Amino acid sequence: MKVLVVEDDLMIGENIQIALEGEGITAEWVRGGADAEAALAAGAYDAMLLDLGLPQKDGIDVLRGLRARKNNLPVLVLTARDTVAQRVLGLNSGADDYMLKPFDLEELLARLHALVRRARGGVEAVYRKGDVTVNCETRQVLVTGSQVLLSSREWSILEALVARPGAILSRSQLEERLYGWSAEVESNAVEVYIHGLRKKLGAQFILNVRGLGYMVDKP
Amino acid sequence: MMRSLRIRLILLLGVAIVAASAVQFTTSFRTAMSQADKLFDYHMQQMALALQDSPFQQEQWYSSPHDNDNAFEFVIQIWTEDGVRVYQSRRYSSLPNQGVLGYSNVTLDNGDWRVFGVRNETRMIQVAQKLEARRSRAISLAMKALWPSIPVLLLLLGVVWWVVTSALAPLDRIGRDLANRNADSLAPVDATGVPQEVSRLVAEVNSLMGRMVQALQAQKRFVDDAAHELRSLLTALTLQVKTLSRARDDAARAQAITRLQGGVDRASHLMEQLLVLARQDPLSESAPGALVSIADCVEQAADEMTPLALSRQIELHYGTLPNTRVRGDVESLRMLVRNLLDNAIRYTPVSGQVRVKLAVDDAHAVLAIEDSGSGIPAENRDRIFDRFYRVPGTNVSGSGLGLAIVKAIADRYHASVELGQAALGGLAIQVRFPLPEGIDQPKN
Repeated sequence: MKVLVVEDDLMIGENIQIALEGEGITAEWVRGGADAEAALAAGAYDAMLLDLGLPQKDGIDVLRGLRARKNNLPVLVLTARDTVAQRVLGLNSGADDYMLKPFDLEELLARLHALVRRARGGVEAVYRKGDVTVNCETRQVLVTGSQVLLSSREWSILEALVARPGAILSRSQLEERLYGWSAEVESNAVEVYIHGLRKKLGAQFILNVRGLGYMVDKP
Repeated sequence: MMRSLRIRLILLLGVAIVAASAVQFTTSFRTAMSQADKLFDYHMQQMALALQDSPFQQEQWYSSPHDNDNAFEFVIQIWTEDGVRVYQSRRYSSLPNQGVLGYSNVTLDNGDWRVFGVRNETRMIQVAQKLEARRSRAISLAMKALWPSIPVLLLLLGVVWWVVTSALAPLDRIGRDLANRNADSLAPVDATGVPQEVSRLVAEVNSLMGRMVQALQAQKRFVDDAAHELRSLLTALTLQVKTLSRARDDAARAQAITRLQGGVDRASHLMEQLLVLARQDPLSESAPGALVSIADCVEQAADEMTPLALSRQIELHYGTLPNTRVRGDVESLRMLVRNLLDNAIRYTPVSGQVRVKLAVDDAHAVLAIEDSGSGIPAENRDRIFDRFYRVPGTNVSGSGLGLAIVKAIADRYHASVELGQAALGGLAIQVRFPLPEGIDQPKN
């Protein structure tokens, strides 16, 4: 999962990023409204965490601009604006969910997952194919009943693939899942992680479509 | 104490009208009485003179044909010249005896009498009338003349009632308008149709309302901003604790602890700034205070800021400052300088310069702090002294209260704060303190 974090407060942004990456979620963090719009124009995200009181451009304006462009990106607003009127304004401007600061990190993650799941058309959190079971909620991967440990980067790739079974994701699309990490993505990173996943989950779990990319079969 | 202006006006005007009417009534009554008196006297005289020429020869002197006719209230007596009574119109147990000529009043057992006597060659004629009867007749005459003034009085009272009520109606309306509105509605009172005297009151009320709206808005903005600030801080701390508890290895844990420490530092800085700001409240102003050397305050503040300056490799110059003194207290003046230095150091890039100057012109001590930072764009300068305001796009995590505190302290000192372009390239802030009178100040 790849999430755009828009938060001007240094300490909050930093810690959200750390927390999301700890969950295996790729987090790209920007601090201003205009920066957020630039990021939205450049990359594809599964969700956006949006603070409202932003420099350059208010969060509400970013949100309205996004919806005006018919972009259905799930947006979770994180804000200190606590009146009912402000919450109503936030939701009416196109937010999918609204959380008040200070919030609980676990709740934030749960709501984020719920938003992304709903946006993907209510796909079940659990993907089963052959011996392999992938639970996107708990991030548990079972092969013939026993748990397999994946690295955060491996999980990012696997999650992107099982989110849309049967769809082919190009190498660059998968690479994007890895951006936002502090370390730079090496040119053959995707192949390396696919190789690692195949070793853990079976050679036939991830299929290579020559010249196009990778996919997992529909369950 | 009467609470209603309307009732007070109506009562006072009513009393005045009734009193005036009473005075008028009394004088009219007296005039009517004296005129009635004159009229009755005239009647008596005419009667007596008319009888003078009549040939009264009756021997039987109690022979009035209308013996029981009480409607005729005059008593006529006629005597011959040798004192024999030849005529008496009515039977009375006691009547005035043959009296003096002309008018006179006589008191008898049965009351007071008015008597008129006249004499010709052969007889003496006397007409008498009981004063009691005359008075009641006069009173009824006077009353008849006065009764039309009673409806006039009532009409006047009614007019007063109506005029007062309608003149005060706008006040009533404004009162109802104010009474019926929401507790938090500070909309201006409608002044249409309000008389001139009241319109000033309404204008003042509206102007007061306007000032209250502004004060409330400022208060609300401050609370909103403070809430935002505290919520953000709490969020940061919560997340930092979470990050610490989730740290998997020692390196991550150490880093998380450093971050948490940063959050706690920020919280204590914010708290300190809020307390300083609260103490600068104009309401908490105390005595004028002793003479304080600005140079000493600069030195102390610079001492405190040196670690921060060193950590950012910023040169902090202040050289030898003239020993200029102003009235106030050391603590708040030091806090002012400290906040200015803190701002200058935080917003100046690493390896920059901050310079403090102090000069005396005619009546002011001018403290100038300049830096080599990027300055503040002119369009943001208006709001820079607002509490919790940060110039958009700045990456420094301050409380947003520093300059608000500077402004609050400067206001207490009646000093002005001006922003300008520094020779070093960044922001120049000048604080101009008025110098206390009668004290020698070193010139530079």
